Amino acid sequence: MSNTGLYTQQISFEKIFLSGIVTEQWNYTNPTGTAISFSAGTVFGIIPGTAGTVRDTQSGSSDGSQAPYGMLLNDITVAGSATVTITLVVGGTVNQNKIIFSNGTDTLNTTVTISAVVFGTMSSLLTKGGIYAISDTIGDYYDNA
Amino acid sequence: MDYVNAGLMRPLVTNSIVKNIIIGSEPTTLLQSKFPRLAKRTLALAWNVKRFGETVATDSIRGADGKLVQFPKMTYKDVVPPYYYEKLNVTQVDGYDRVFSESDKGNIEIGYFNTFRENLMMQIRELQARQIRAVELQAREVFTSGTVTPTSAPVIDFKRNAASIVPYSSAIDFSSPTVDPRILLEQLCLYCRAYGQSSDAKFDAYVAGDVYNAFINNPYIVKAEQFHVNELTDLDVTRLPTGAIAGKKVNCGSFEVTLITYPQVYTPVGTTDLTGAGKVPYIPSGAVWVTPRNTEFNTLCGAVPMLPPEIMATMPGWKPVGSVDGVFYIGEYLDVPRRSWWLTVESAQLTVPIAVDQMATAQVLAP
Repeated sequence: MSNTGLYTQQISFEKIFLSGIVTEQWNYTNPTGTAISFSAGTVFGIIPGTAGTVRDTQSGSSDGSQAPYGMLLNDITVAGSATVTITLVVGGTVNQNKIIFSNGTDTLNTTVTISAVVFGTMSSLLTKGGIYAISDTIGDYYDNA
Repeated sequence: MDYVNAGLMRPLVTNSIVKNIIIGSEPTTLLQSKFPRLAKRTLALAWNVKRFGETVATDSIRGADGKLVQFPKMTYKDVVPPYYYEKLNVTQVDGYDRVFSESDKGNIEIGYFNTFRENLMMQIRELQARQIRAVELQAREVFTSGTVTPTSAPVIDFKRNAASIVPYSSAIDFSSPTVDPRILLEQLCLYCRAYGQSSDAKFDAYVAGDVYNAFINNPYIVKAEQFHVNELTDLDVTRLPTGAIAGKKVNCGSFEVTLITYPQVYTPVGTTDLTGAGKVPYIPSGAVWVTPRNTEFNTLCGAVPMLPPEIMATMPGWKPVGSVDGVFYIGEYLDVPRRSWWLTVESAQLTVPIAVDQMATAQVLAP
């Protein structure tokens, strides 16, 4: 074992999925040629017309996946152009502060439009689907690192 | 005249050394006294830090669900402490040749033996003292900069908050007639309270001698003295066992601060001036180190390289003597071809400010 000085690791056990969780299995195909990673809590939407297939929700999409359906249960990395089975949380109470949109710009208040028709916001559509997002308060903080 | 059988000489020496090492092994220096020893039998030493935020509840509507509060954050830290391993050759100790001379083979006069044994004990205790001083220097470095710098391993940085190390400025110069030293001391206490989350009301301020002089001569302090029975210039205790000199207490805002000087010095590694002129005080000139009376600091003591005793028992000349509270390990072995008899002292120690923000440092005199 080499001596590397002081090793420091900050760890968070903050829960994303809180209670009454319902999960489903879906397929995801990496549309790019390079590996892609998603963190638990990332929002996914169904691609209509491709049975059992979802992709990460982005408000700018037009394939139907811009309507949020569920949230990724675990961290995953998908190889380029690969298809994998993923587990989505599609119902229950979740931690609002841990919901992730893959493009980094969408929020729960982002408007969802399908075929030029406004269907609601990310938040309202998730709620309509049975995912109730509540806010938590973090009562501690990390040590200096 | 009393004699000791020469065949019993080596075990007698060995047993006596262990006894005396144990007697003299308690920490005797001020800085590391803030870091009580915690002995572990592993190479690396780890600890977790969880800091609550002192947050406040908000009221709820009756009938509504409770508000979710989570405490998920943890910081894990892991380090291999510096390893100290020093030895001396017993055959070079004064009196050795007289005690173990060929002509005295058989019985040895106990007076010679006692003299030799005392010489040996003093030398091996000095080996231990060197390691204690090394730990004292670790504490000095932690108080000064929040780091420990081994010579054979990377710098260990405990990541003190920058706000806890206040550089010199004329606004905090204790020798300035326009500066009230109590204001800075209160700020340093408040840092330990707010950021370090110490609940103490009593704080210790380790100060250099020149800082204490500047403090008691400061006009604000002199003026405040006129209204107090106890005088700051009248030291309470001549000398504490740790080598510190305790001064008077002073109120700084809501806190009680005890000024403690520490006129102890060490000889820096690589220097040869043993006359005193080249020695360095443990608390640098102009420095003030403030900590709560009760802190969460420890000297973590890890394992030293151990070998299986059943294998070592087959090694000619090897004899493990023992350890002192799992901190200092004493060993002994004979190197017959080289006619050497070695006694070793090993330890692996590191002063760790586990609650790293329960210390605050300031330079209050011009460097």
